[in-house]
Amino acid sequence: MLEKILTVENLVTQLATDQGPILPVNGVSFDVYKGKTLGIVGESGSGKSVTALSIMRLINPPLGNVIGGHIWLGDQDLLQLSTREMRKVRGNQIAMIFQEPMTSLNPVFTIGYQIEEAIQLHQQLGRQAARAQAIELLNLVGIPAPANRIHEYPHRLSGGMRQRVMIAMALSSKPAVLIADEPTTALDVTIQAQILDLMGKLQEELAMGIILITHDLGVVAEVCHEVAVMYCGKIIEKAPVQELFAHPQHPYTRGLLSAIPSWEGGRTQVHRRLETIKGIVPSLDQLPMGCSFQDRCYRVQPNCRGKQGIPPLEEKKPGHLAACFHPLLERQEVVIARPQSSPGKS
Amino acid sequence: MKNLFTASIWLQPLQRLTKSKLTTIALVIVLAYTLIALLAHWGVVAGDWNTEVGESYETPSRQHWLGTDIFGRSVAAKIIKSTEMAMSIGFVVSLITIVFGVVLGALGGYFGGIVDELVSWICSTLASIPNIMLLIAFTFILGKGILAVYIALGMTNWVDVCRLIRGEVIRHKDREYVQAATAIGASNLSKLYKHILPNVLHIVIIQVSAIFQIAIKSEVILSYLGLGVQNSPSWGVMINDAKVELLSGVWWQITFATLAMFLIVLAFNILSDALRDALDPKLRGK
Amino acid sequence: MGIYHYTIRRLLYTIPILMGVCMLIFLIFNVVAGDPTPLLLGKHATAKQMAALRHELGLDKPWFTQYLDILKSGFTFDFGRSWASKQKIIAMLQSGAWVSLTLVIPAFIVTGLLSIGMALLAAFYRGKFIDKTMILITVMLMSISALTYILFGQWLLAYKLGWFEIAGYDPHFPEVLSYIVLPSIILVILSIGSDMRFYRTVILDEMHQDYVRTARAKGLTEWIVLSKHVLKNAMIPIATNLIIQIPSWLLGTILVESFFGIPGLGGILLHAINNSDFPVIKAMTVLSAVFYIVLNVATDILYTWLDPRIKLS
Repeated sequence: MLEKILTVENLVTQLATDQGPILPVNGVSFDVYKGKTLGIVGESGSGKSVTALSIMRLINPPLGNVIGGHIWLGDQDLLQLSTREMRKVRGNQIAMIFQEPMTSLNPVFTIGYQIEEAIQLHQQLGRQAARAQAIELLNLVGIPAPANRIHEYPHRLSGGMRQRVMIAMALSSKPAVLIADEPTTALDVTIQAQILDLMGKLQEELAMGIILITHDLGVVAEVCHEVAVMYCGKIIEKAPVQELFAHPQHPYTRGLLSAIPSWEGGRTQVHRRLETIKGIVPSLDQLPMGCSFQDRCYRVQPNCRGKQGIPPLEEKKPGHLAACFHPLLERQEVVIARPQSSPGKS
Repeated sequence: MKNLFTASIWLQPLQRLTKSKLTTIALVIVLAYTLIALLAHWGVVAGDWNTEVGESYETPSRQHWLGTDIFGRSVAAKIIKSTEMAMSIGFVVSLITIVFGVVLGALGGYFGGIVDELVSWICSTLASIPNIMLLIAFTFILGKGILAVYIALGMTNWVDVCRLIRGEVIRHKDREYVQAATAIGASNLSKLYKHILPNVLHIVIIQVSAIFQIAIKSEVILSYLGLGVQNSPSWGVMINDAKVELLSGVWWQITFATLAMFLIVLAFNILSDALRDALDPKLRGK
Repeated sequence: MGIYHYTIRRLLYTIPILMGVCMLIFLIFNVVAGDPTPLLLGKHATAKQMAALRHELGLDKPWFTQYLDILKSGFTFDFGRSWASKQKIIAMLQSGAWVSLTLVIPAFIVTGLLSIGMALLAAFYRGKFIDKTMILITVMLMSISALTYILFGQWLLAYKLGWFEIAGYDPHFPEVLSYIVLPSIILVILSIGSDMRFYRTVILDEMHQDYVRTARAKGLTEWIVLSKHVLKNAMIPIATNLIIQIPSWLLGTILVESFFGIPGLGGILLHAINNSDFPVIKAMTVLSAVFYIVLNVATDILYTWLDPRIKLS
């Protein structure tokens, strides 16, 4: 049965900019389940990374601040914790890995040192025990000859290896939730697949909940169980992955899916022109009244432009939520890329 | 270069500059000193600094606001005259430094190859002699007088500017907008002048504000060493005189000279920090 | 292996620089300076006397030979004799150097520790009151002339309060303390402002790197992130900056030593200026340049040693 381990409720984060404060996260809510992966998708500027950093409470003044909502880890609201208490959670019950493995490791410390530092921070282990655990972790993430590798500096490893080290560091305390912010974007496609496989395998072993942030729908199709699509600081659609790909409700989602080139047969027109979503993402300090997507939407109606306010995120079908006054109906099924059911997923 | 003078490019940094009260005060101080220097240069004020107006070593009073020196000359007049000296040194030295630094840095950075090697070699050579030593060597040999001071201070400061400009030009010359200009047949000179130089202007402005105050402080030291300007009062000489004066309890010359220098150097320090924050594109994103 | 080759290569690079520096010194002291004999011998010197002196000073040699002499002196440290005191210049400089070091070494260490510490604090509290205040105070301190510090310091702490000696020097311990503590303090005040601001900028730049975000995400305290992760990276430019300052420290004592009557390198230099002691000034220029070039090589090598990312192939 599905066990909830993290619940984000109406999260609002404010950032300070030259043009004034903006809300890159504006009322975001979702749940993360044990052993399942939630994908958060969106273009740059949609607020997905800021959401992740907000959960870790890594957004602080003068950069910005979380100004509303709750983050429930078990029965604790992370936003109510003191700085010291939150530090005990960070890297411990919730861990995070980042996009740039090339620069995310400290270049002047060996990888062994950095992993052991994480181990000794949250567990009461002596140096020898920490060393042993670090070697074991490197083994777990698939780094060959870990006992030797422990003494190496990050620049001697390839991007894929470094990302594995980051994962090892993140998993050292067996966190309940792993947040992965574009973990494979900077890697080659083949390495990408390896890392995603690794994450899937580890998820099974540790029964972790994963929040996977990405702009790559292909990745989402491969590894996510549930998907939330973000636009201008809000989640505009949320559904189980197969449902989302098969029956997107929000015109934005449909636009994203249509933009994927495909070479599948079946009902797909192989010679179709790549569709794009016209216009550009509005800047957060100049959002239009009403639906944020109105100026780019091919289905826009007068009531989208302000009279009814911002469309709320509501259940349009069981388990499938969308924030639209005119969602796509059933018969407009658009089959673009049918996600394969891969062995790593349950 | 027309686009350099569009209001919009200057408006935003100027706005950000004046947002801080501190920076606005600093700007006002610099402008005030410039005004005083100009007035003194034209003889409108302090033209009579060399005349005996009172008793020797009179304490500050309503008659002589800042007191008199050993010859009975007004300290206030001397300070104003010294302002002219300091500002002119700052100005000329900045000019020399910028001209040498920008021209050589741009040439070296843009053309690369042997030109760059030559420029780098000249820079390294000059930089290998510690500044104080070079200053002393120059002024010692070139003799006393304002020209020697100008040359000495100019030569010791242009190398840093040169290296900065060279670095920026190298960074910019492979940028796409320069390649686009090449594609439409722009000459080397026009590319440098129209496209790259406006982008390094911010470095120039920041450096000027830094060099100005270095020049002023260095002149004080040169004056003390007896290598500076001889026939005109300067803050350095006034402070130097205090060696003897303090023992007699005469505190006003050193105090007011220090104060006068302190204000303008502080103003430039604040300005150069604020300018760096406002103009450095790398910092803007943060 | 790599370091050995790198050192050799780096030293080879200094040759054109050394030649350039000697050329510059040659231009300044031999060409532009002109004939010093009238100055030395006085108005009533005969042409014969001037020619003899010129010969003695080696000024009648062809210019290329004069240039080579300068170059040679950079290696042999044989600078001839002082015009004023007739001492061997290198001996003068050696004894002066020892004296200056007793002043400079403590000031250098204290400045280094204080400026790094203050920079760390400023970075930790960046943007807040402590940071802004420290910056303002250091900027103000930097805006006051060295002369003022020396004169006021001397007058107040030595003359009026009698805590230290006004001037003079005694190399014996512990008397030496009462002579060097005040000038050392002044040296520290003079240097700490710009150092601290530079280190603060270096540290703040490092704080924007990605690995800092990772360190925070691990749950480390902000202080550990700063003092361990950031500082170790920042030490690379900081350490090289510290080393390259050394020549400026040794020469920059000119003011302090002159006022406090300390017979170090600075005092020698001032004395030479006042007595128009040409060869001493020339010698110090050559020596300081050589010293600086060697230190440059040393810092480059240190840099490669400190930064594990640099591969010497």
